Amino acid sequence: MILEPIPPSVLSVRRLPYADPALVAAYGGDPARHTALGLVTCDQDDAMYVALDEATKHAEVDVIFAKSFYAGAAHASGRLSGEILGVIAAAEPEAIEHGLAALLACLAHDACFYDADGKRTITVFPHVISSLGDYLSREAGLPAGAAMAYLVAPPLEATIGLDAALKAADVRAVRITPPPTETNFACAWLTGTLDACEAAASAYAAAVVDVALAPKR
Amino acid sequence: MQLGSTIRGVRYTFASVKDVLAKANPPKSGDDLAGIAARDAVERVAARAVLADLTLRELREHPVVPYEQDALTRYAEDELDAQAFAAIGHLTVGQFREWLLDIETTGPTLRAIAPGLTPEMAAAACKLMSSFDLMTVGAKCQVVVRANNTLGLPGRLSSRCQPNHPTDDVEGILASAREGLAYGCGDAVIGINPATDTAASTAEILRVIDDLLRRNEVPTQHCVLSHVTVQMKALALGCPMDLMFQSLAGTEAANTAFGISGPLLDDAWALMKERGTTRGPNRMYFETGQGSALSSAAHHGADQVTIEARAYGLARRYKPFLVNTVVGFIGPEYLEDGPQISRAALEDHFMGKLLGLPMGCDACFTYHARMTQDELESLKVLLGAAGCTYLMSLPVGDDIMLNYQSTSYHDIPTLRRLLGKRPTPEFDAWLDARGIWRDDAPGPRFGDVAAVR
Amino acid sequence: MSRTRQLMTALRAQLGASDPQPAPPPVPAIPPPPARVYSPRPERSAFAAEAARHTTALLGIGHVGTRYATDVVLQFQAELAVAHAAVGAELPDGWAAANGFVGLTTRVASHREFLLRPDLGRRLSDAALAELRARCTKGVDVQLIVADGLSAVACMATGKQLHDAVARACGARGLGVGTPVAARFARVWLEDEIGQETGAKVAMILLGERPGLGTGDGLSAYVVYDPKLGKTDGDRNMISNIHARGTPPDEAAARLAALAAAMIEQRTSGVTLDLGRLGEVAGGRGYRAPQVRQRLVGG
Repeated sequence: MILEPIPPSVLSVRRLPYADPALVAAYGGDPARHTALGLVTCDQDDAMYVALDEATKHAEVDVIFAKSFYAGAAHASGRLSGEILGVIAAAEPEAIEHGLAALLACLAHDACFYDADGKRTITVFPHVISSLGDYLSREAGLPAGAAMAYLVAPPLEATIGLDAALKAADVRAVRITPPPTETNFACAWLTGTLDACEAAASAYAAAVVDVALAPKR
Repeated sequence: MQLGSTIRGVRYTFASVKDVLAKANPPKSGDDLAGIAARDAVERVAARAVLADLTLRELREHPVVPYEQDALTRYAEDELDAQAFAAIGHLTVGQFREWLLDIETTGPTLRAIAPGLTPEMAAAACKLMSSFDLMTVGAKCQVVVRANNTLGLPGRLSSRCQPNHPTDDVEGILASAREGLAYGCGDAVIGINPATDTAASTAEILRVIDDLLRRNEVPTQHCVLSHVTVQMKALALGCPMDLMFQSLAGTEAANTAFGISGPLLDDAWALMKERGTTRGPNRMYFETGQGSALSSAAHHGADQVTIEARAYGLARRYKPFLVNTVVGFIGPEYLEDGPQISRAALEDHFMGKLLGLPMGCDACFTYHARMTQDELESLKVLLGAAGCTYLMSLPVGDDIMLNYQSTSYHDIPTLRRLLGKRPTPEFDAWLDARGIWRDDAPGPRFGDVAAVR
Repeated sequence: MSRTRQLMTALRAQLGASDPQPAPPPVPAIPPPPARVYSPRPERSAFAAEAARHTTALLGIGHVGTRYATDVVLQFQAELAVAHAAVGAELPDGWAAANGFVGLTTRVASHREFLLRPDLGRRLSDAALAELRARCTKGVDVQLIVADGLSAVACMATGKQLHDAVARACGARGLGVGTPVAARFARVWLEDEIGQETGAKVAMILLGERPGLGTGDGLSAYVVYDPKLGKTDGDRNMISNIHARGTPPDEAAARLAALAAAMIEQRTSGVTLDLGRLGEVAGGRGYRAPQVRQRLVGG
């Protein structure tokens, strides 16, 4: 069904209450502040980036590591690898628990790809973040609390979609990642008022669906 | 009292209340056979128009069989609850129908007025009602009874397991009963129509079924449907008996043809209160059916719907655990085809429930009636939706002794799933424990006779 | 609920793509289900085999969900069709004469009327009454009547055989039997008028019984002492299920002749007849092996 949510599957969730400092450092953390880690893999990388950011809004955690795997979940290195590994770090295991709870809730109920052609062979990620957390605000160079449309689709669809999104509302491109990303999609982050971000995301999704249904018009 | 009405300028007049009641009936071959039916559809409506304006008090004053001639009329009149009658006696039948259908009129209220209704009042309302009307009011009525099981709670659909055998071979009866239980059937009763109507045979079958129920700790009741006098003799032999059965008809004369009377039933009930083997308080099982009085020429010129209601009037004296109409069994000369049988089933269920009985139905046809298997299956859904307390159940619905087609072991679980119904709470728990039925779906041992030893 | 999900739901509606149900799952591989085959030789399960030794009820047939397997459905429909065909059959004109009976008709004019008007099937037509008076012996001990009842099929199959067997059994007991008659569109109580007209001590009607599933071939016999109009069911004794796979005609004949003899001796019939003095021959609960259910569809 067109624009039906395709919920991400969480493939593994583990904690390290006392991670080795060398490991923490290698994964981008600060051993002085980061002793406890939470590690999650999932089959949708962009949903995970949003969920990691969501965790930073609910707990005293930092996202120290988040990387997509090449060619996506369909070509994973193992049954539990999925498309991304995300690592949150904190001084206390309790903060990790709160962070993981927020992260998993976001994956279960909010951030996800949507079916763009009714057969799930083309998907779109037209996500609106009403209020950025520490992680994505730092990545985007925006103030925490700003609204952002996080838009992902396959190469041509994403291109047509981005054009539609930019023209649909008073939004500004923060980052445009032309294809291919690690997973061979294309991505754009737009900011503006919340209403503008929503209008842009809707236009993006509508354009992707349009291409999906009539690829050669 | 006004016994005439005018339709499109044509005046229709009727000889008596009994005549009005007969001619107001939807078409039934039995009323044609008795020569009392309306001659056409317009006269039928004219009779209904007259009936709609009669008051319940007038119906009470004009029973279809006179007080002096019939014990059933005397029971209805003498035992009527004055206070309940006073509340509704002033209503016309038309107003009564509307009051029954009113959302504000709830099950508990209907229970309160039931003792103030004579059978003729229930029958009269019936004649002004469509199938949906009958189902709507039938579903409202709440009649909860208890023996070992609690029957008639909301959201429940129970069944009699009917493992009849043409020669009363107890091994054959047992095999069929075990399979029925394995399909989740039999929470109303394990009831056997014996081929041989003797006390020894009745006692033998009861002992075998009693052993089966004890061995498997099944929370249900047993009954052998021999004549009430035979069952009384069987009790004297010291056999267990959860329920005592008798066929009832709607006039004293028809019951005489059945070999029963009020005093005999009084004795039977008293004996069951003393010797019955369940927790109670409900201990009797009655079967009825439109047309039985006419078949023994004991109908006093009254229509078969009204006579059927009078059988319920007799039944309610004995606070029965089970009452069902055997609606299609009597044959096409009384109920000709699928539509007539279906209508009668809904009528009987409505009238029985309204009069306060835990009404079930043997939805069935004989092979010389014009009813199809599909029509019969549809009727079972209608009855289930109308809140019918229980249906029968037999292997593929085929009674190999009485030679007719009823409800099957497979139909009961099918209906429960279709209608979101469950068996009695006690039986439901037993099915769950045995792995036969879990929540609203077959369990791992559904249909597996090994689940019942 | 998630803002983005709300947004996409609204967009879906706006695009006219709001299918109320989710997309179906991928089409799975569908193997044939495990065979649940109705068989008159129930070797499939120990329970079915054991049950079949004691009953013809269709037990151990398994289930598909809560319903029947296809084989069971077809067997069931075939049995229903056989029953309906038996009910619908009519005794052909000339059958009575061809089999040595005086043919009698009732007041019934059509098959539908026969089903709906039992009162007309209980009385002779004027022509038949005249025929009976003209051709039948009066004052006999037992008047036998063969009739179609609710299964002309059964009457044609076993009626003549049962009639002759009962006549022989009566003769063996020294009872005189009347002129053989066969009636069309006849009900049980027709024996009252025929018995009254012939002045028989006992009337006995042998007629096709209401068919059961898959069995349209059973005859019933109803016997009444001092037959005359006005007798009721309580005045009669009966034996049912008479056919090759039920109570065989010869066995039924012996019991029927014993019943007739007892009625004449006790000068009564029905509920007041003392069956205890008859012993096993007149009924009782002798063991009878269950009929084997015949497979009606396929091999």
